[in-house]
Amino acid sequence: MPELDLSSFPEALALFDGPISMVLGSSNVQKRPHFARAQGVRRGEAADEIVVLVPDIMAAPIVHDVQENPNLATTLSHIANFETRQFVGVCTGIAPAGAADLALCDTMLERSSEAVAMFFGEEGANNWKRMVTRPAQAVHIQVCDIYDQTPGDRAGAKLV
Amino acid sequence: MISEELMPALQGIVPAWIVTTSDDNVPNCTCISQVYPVDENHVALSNQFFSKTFRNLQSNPHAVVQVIHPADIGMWLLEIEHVRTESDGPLFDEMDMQLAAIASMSNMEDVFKLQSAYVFKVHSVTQLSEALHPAATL
Repeated sequence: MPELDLSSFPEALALFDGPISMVLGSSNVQKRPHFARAQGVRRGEAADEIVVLVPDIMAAPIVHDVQENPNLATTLSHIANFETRQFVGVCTGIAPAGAADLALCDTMLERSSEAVAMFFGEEGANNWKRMVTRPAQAVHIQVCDIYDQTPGDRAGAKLV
Repeated sequence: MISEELMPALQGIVPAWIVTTSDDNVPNCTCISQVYPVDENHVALSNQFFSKTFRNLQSNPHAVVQVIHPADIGMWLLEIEHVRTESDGPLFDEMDMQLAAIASMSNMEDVFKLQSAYVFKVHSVTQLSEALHPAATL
């Protein structure tokens, strides 16, 4: 029975529906951090698991790092209201994203493009849609900690 | 190293991201309002809420930042190393003014307050051209 049940954090899970900007961070054995822009996120099978979808074009440093150091962090930030959560945990597996996950990436990109249009107009939204989403890797993370990183007094507060 | 081509991505129009690493090698990702060009080899980041980022930089000065060009969404990665922190002086004042403008654009005037400017040496700048489809293919 996992210690952490993500269902207890509905406000964090609400971000999974977008529109969000999302990143995945890793670190190699020399403690050099790496960055990847993610294009989708969903719950995993376990209660404490999430799956972050990273286009292959961005995934290489992450895939390399987790072989040396399984620690990962992913941060999701709502494009319109800046509500932000960071999930920190360990990588439990990486595999090529299947058709359903790739479709999720496309849906997420469409939603975020609509939000981008509110700030940058149609041209900005069309440029946002140029982000490559596939092929992608599905990065499975067992979540250990969640932080509220919404700008404001509570930024950085540990929720679990 | 910081080219004219990169400068629009350093105006704070699209929020940037920073990844740092703790002493026990746990990464930390956070959104940042401001990546400010100091000179051709240095940038400064606005410290507003950086509790974990600040802690991490004390033990490990290496970080990576992603910035986005506001016109074409071109993505750039900067490998950087923290070299000093400034809490007053001309750089702090310039960043404070720009941050006020960024806060105004995003209705965050009561939230965005510059605490200090973290100055970083830039080790590399990489344009992630392959992360975007060419515009003509859409």
